[in-house]
Amino acid sequence: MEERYDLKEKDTINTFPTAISWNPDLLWESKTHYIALEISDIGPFRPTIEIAFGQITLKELPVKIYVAYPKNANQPKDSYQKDLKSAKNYGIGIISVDDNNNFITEIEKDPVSIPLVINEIDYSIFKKQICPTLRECYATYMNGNPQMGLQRMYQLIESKIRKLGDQAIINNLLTTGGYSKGDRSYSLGNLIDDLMRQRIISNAVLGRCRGFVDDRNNVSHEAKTKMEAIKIEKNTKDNFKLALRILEELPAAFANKNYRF
Amino acid sequence: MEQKKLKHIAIECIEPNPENPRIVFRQEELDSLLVSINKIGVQVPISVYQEGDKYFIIDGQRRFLTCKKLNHKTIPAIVQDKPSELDNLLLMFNIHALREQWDIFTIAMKIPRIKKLFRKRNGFDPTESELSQETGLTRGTIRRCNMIIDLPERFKDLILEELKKPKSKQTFSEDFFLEMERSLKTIKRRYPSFETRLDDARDILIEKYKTSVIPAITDFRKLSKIATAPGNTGIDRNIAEKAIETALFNINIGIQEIYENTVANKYNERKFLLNVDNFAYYLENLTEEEIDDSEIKDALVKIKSIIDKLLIEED
Repeated sequence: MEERYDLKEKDTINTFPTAISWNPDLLWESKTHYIALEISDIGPFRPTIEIAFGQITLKELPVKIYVAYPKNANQPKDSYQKDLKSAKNYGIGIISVDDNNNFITEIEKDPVSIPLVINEIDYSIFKKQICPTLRECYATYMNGNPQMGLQRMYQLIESKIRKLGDQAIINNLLTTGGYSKGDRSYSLGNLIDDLMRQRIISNAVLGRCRGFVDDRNNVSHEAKTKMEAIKIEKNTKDNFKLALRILEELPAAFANKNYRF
Repeated sequence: MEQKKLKHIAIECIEPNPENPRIVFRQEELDSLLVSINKIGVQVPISVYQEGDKYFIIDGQRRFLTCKKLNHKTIPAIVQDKPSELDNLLLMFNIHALREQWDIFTIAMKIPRIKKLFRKRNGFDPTESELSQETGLTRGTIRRCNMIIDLPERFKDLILEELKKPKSKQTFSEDFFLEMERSLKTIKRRYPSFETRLDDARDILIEKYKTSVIPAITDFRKLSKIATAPGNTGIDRNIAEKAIETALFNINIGIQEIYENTVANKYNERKFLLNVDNFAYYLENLTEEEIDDSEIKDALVKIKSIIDKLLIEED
């Protein structure tokens, strides 16, 4: 843990700076996050995390939580699967310790900072063709790499907007601006502006796309302090949710104007 | 005596009772309490006594640990008078041992200290019965504790390590050692020549259990039966001694197999003869009325025909 987050002995603390109903077994304070480790006798989840989760989210405290559990605990399969699901849903990192084999530890899953956690997506409201990509984005986001998950969402939306631009060009409806069919170097922001100007599809949806593209730059740099981390994480989560809303709305907006999604 | 007071005491001022025999608190035992205290708080205050600016827990260590885990700043507590050393220790037993299923090891480790404090107070060593009265433990439990106390230190360390694991993951339970020690005690009493080698035998028996050559801890009872077989069944003492030697020092042969090959038949025969004796006694004492009962008569005819058939076959 020390190596992973460049932590020193002085970074070990006893308790969170604000009232949270949980004292983790080990707690460190890095420049940008609190890193908590809970030791479990059996499976990869602990009820203490469930108790503290709401408070940490509410206070937007940048906390990354790991649960360390014994790999050979012989936990019943059902209960193990339940723990694993909870760990996934709560964005918890998992460390297994092979206590039959000289305490070899393995990080099975990285955590995501608690305020970033997003509930499992209801895939039934999305177009089937994008669901595999959405699943991949969500898994990347929740498995300790929210920026990458968001980046993949951006790429998905970009590909759909450029596809819309290409179709509008073919139909001779996109006549202003400098976009030409298949031009990947043309700025996506400018393309959305062009599409909005000529009302190619609903401007409300395109407006949200424009906002999403603008905000993306605000979350792409690394935080240096906890305050920055809180701000960036809030934006990252909001943008991921915004991307979901856009991807839910775009197919209908395309269909209304007879464009293929 | 000062009136007992209910206070809300800061968690950081509270210390576990140094005399609490419980060393291990397993997560599975604390989890349900954790959820309950988080939901409805501490409904029953803990009991503590004060020493300087610290409070020591008499009753409520699990509630205390749970509150600490839940980052509670204070906990409701009743402050009691400070008990004497022996009373403090005995309180731990009387409050907890009777209410919860304690690990026998944790109790055993405190027995020598109780004996010492008892001797200091009364000027003589407690008998088994006095220990039982003072601690609220049964005499059987005290005997089991003594067996654990007498174990070599390395096995006590092993038990302690096992106790830290969830029940389901424990391989070498206290029961394993108790069963093994009982059988070794029987062997030692009847075959003193093994005494100096028993410690080596323990290591081999542990290995046999680890590799499932001994699949169940109850197999040790059969080892005792082999040891007592010459007296109980009349088999040759040398045969029993040789069987014990194999059971204790041959890493590849299980107790059950040795039992089957040496004394099982003799024990079955003995059991049969005992049953026959009982049955014969019952028959001899049947009343006329009972003999006239049609169900009993049918049963007797059935038995007679079986016996006749067996005896004719033998002729």
